[in-house]
Amino acid sequence: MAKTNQYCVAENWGKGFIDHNESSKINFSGLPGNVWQVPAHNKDANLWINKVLGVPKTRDEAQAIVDAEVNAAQAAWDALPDAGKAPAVEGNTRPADITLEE
Amino acid sequence: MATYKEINGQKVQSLSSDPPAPYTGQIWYNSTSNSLKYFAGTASVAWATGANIPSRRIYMGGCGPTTSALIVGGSNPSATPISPNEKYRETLAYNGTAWTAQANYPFYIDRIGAAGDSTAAIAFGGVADPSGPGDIVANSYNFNGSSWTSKPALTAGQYKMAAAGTATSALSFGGEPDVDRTDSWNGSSWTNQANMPRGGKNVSGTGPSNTAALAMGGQDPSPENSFNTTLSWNGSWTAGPNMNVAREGAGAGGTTTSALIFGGRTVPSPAPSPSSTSITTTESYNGSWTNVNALVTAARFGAGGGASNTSAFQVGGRINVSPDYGQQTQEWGTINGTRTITTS
Repeated sequence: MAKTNQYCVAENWGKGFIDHNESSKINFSGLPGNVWQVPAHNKDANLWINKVLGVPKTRDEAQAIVDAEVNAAQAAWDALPDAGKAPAVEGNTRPADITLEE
Repeated sequence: MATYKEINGQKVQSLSSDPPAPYTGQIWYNSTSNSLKYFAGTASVAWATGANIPSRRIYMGGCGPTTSALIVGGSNPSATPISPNEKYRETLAYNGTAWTAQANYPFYIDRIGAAGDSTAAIAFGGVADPSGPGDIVANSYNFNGSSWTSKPALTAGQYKMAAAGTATSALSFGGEPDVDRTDSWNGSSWTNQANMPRGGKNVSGTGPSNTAALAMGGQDPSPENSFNTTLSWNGSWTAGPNMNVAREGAGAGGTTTSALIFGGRTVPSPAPSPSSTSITTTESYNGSWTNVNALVTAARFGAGGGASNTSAFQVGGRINVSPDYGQQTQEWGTINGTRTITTS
């Protein structure tokens, strides 16, 4: 199956990290661990990865980074006393697993 | 040496106004504004990343256009979930390039309303830290660009409300505990107004004054379902066209005829997303709602503002990426269209 997404690790430094032109051309998805999902086989996405000095990752490598972040967040949640798990913020729930697409 | 016309086939015209239908790449001199301009192609609008705020936070008050934005208060949780007293009193101003710290709000506060911009604003209501004046507060304070000054209180303590207007002409509507409440500020005092026909908590609001505002979406108190209604205020509330997406806790900016709503969350959420998921969906309003380019980072319960459906900002809030609370700024702006050539 041809892959539809590619992954890289890059830290969002703020202004200029993603500009209006890039946002209008590329579907971005930010994931835990500074992992970014962008379309595969896409010239604009490739140029953006180069611009932000993104470190390319395979889907499995990206999944491992995301899993480590999510597992840590879940462990922190599980360690909270029951009173601390009350929904002080609406929708405050245990972090969910994330499965990356090929 | 080749001339500009020999290369491009056209002269650079001197025109008293911009051409009504320029072609992509056309350059002209505007003799009225004394500026050299070009047309970069059909204009469109999209989100971009802006400068990060100094630390992660949710539930701030926010107002102003992108180039003169203000956020105040909020919560800065050190862990999930937030504890009741992890609040900010920090005020931050944005000029479209960087955030700078301003005078602190008089006490630690979140879920606060704000109207105006970074040079003149009114902030009101919210939930105060236990070290402050109480839990749900009615206090309001004026910001003049350098300091906060106490003003008469809202007609009742209220939080999670929407806001519209300026430092001297503002509207507070929706929120908790009274989901239908509308209060109007005339620069001197708050007066209670006609109730919203469908109020809610985490309603989104925008508009230029206490006589012109839009209320968008929100959440019913019980059962806690998000809704997609639009209400227009001109001294009384009138139902407008529904948004395409039911949402609460979204950011909004603009006027009653040119507005933008972005992010938030939908409860109950369409499967497979859990209801705790923030959304990226952005809708543009010009009398009806149209889906437009999505946020880069999904967020709810952050702050937002903007001048129109082509210029807005989103800051912080609850995001879908651990550690859950955002530090990002996102700017909605125009690309292509007519641009001015500047040199240093």
